[in-house]
Amino acid sequence: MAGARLELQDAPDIDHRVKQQAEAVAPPAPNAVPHVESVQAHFQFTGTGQEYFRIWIVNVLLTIVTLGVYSAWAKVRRLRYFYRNTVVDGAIFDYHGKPMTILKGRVLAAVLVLAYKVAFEVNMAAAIGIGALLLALMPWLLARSIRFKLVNSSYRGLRFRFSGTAWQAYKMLSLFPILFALIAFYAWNVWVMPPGSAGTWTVLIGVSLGIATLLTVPYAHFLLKRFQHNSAYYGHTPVFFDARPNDFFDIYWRAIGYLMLGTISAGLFLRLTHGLFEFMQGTMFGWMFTMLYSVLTAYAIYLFVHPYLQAKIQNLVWNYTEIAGIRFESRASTRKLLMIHATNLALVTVTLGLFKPFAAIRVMKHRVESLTMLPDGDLEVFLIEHAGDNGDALGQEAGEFFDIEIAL
Amino acid sequence: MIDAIYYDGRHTRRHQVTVVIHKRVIAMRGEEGLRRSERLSRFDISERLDAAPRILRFPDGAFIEVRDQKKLDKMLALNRFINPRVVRWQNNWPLSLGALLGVLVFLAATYSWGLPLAADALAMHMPASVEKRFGDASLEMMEGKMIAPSKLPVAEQTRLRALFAAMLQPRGEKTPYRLEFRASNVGPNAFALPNGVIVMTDELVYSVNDDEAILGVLSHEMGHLKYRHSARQVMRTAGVGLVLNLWVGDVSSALVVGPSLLMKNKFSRDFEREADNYAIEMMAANRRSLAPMADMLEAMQKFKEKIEKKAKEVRKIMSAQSRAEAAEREAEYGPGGGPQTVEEEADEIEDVELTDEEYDKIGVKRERKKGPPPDYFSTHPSDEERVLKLRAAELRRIAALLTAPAAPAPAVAPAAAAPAAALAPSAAVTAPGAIVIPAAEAGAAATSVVVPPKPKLPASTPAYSDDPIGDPDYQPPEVVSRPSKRAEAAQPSTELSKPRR
Repeated sequence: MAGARLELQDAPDIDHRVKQQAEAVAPPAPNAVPHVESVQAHFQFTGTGQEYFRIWIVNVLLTIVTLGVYSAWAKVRRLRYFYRNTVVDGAIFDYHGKPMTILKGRVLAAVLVLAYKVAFEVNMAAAIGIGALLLALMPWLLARSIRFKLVNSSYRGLRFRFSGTAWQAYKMLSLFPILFALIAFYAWNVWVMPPGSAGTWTVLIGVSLGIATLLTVPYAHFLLKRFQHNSAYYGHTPVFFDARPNDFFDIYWRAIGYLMLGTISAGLFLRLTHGLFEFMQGTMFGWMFTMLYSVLTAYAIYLFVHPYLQAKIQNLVWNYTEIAGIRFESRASTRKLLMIHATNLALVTVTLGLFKPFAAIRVMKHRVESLTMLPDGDLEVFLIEHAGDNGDALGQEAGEFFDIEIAL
Repeated sequence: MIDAIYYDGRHTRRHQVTVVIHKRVIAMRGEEGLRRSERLSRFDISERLDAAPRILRFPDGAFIEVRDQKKLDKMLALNRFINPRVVRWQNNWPLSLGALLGVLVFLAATYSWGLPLAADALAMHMPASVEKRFGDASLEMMEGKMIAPSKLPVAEQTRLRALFAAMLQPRGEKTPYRLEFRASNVGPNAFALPNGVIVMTDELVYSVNDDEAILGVLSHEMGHLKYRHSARQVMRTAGVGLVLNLWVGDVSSALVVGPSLLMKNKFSRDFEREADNYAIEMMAANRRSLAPMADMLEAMQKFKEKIEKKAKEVRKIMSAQSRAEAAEREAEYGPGGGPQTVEEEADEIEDVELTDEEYDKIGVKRERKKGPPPDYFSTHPSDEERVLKLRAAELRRIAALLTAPAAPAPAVAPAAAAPAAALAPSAAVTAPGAIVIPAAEAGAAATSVVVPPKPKLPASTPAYSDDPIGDPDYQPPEVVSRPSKRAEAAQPSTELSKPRR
């Protein structure tokens, strides 16, 4: 059992293990391969904004010119760029997804969405039927999507695999329908409520909805990450994921704290700039200013929470992921990500979106380079021992008729 | 010969190898007798990236990783290997910038033609039921909050309805509409809703006191209905939002608000101009003067300026108060003791009144004297522009009338179906002084007298009665038959005047 074997470890424990490994390192294997010292292997990201900008802009143009058909090829190019520029222990990752498979998935998704829209115009019942069907298909599609991604990823020529089943996805995602139902119930209530009695009900339902969200979202996030990592294989070597739901809850509680902190600072900001605000409102562009002001305030709050969640969730997920003795350490920094996101936002705004590829590279560089691989012994020896052939992975790949991306 | 690393695709073991490409065959050689060769054409050769190694993949999945890019390039070139076109494109700065240019051109074209065209086409296919739902919903939403039942006498309402119903639409079209009056807390205003309802506020009727101005406003709203502006606005805004979202994407949807709002305002201004043009056509077709409408717009603008001036005065008084406080402080700290605040300095500067010549002398450019302010942020064209246009149209109309004095009887002879509630006599004649151009005034007054629809009522009946129900010929004008199953569109809130925010 993974849980029994892999005790949760704090940072000091990891340090201790690293020292042990350092003592136990065997002399380099006698083959002539340029041996990289593999006690601790830092992840490196070698992509640059300038290079990615050229790839991106050509992708954008070709996607426009081909009315979106090229987007599948663009995706492959983009992922290859990111994978091949991710280096650990002197070796790169690679992506093997086939554009045609992705295109088929995209066409299918477009058809489904179009069917939904058309049904919505024609007949409400049909629309609800198709919507329900889409929802029902979602877990199955999610399982496929994760499998496609893993099966088409490789490191040193060995593919990853995924054994998660659609049934597991159904069990996991059953939480989301509950949440959806609650939101729908809320919306319906607000819509139907007579104006007089709306107040208390709205508040009541809003509060219960908030609590439901607070209770389900962190747990759902935990389930998703466990589903992704715990059913994954590198070659024939299983990946274990042993974080607990509580870890996710902790992060989300703090995120709420950040949200509140953001609100307090935003409130303070509003109070301090009260006079200026009043003055600006009196001018010709007053309404515009009001709007910009509220958007800025809202975004200021989001800007705090987003990097926090991004950094902490990444750290949590990778610190509790293990591939047969290889552990990972992730030290993504909220503060640095906050700086990156803030400057990205400013520059993307100023350049009307042209900074986007640079922004993507900056975020990716920080996230990748905060990862370290901590092998339990000599990585080279381990990798040779744990090798397996790609037969299964290639079999799985052949089974993929289409790939649908699901952003979760 | 290039040093490289070989992976067999089944194991993660690295093999140090040397690679040679000759006569379009790639051959590699490693330790322990490792040898492999294959035709170049059967390899999958990855695109060249700056930092990442290049991958030469055998058909069976085994591959060679080459880090020495320059040597490999040379060898591949010698063996007539040509990179795919896209790869050459993205590896080349000038060509990539060309792509950037292409994207920008595309975006600009989409912005100025593609989006409006596509959105308008979609809007024309919007089901009437949807438009009606939109219109009904927005009317319901405003009812009780922004507008209340009209306090205008029923007779006046009836009269105005009949007056407008007697107007012909410029090209004989029959855009269905329903004219409603409402008391409002937004002041003098009128707007058209997508369900074909034109709402005019009591305040407008009271403040204008000139039937031709009211008819002009109603014609303008009719233009909104005729061109289905609200459906088009909804579609265009949605389209802009979609495109911008695709472009900006994951960074932040909040960013999209600003630009899409600017575009929304541009569309709104275009629609207002279109509606003004329609009003000009409609008024001309009915031989009505546009001058009262222009006067009204001017008066409204003056009123707004007055309010702004008042607000400025209030601010001045407030700053004077703060100056009094400063004086107190001075008394406390002694003369010049308290530091002068920036606001005080600014106030002093503001208090100095300079004439234009003086401003010119010191070389200060004052923008507000240089014509109307830029209208990027406004939903309406500037009042100056609208007034000028209306006046010019009026001039043209009068000129046309003067040059063709023997024109046949006006084509505006009331349609037989027009409700016969009679017009007040004052309504028929352009108010004197309403036309700015004195030379033309006499002619205009003489020729632009609108022939009022001949009352069908017996002479004994008063021109209009307070009781439409007692009026045997009374037909409620607001009941409009809808010839097409699709309701004609209108703006959910195409207000006549610039809303003050």
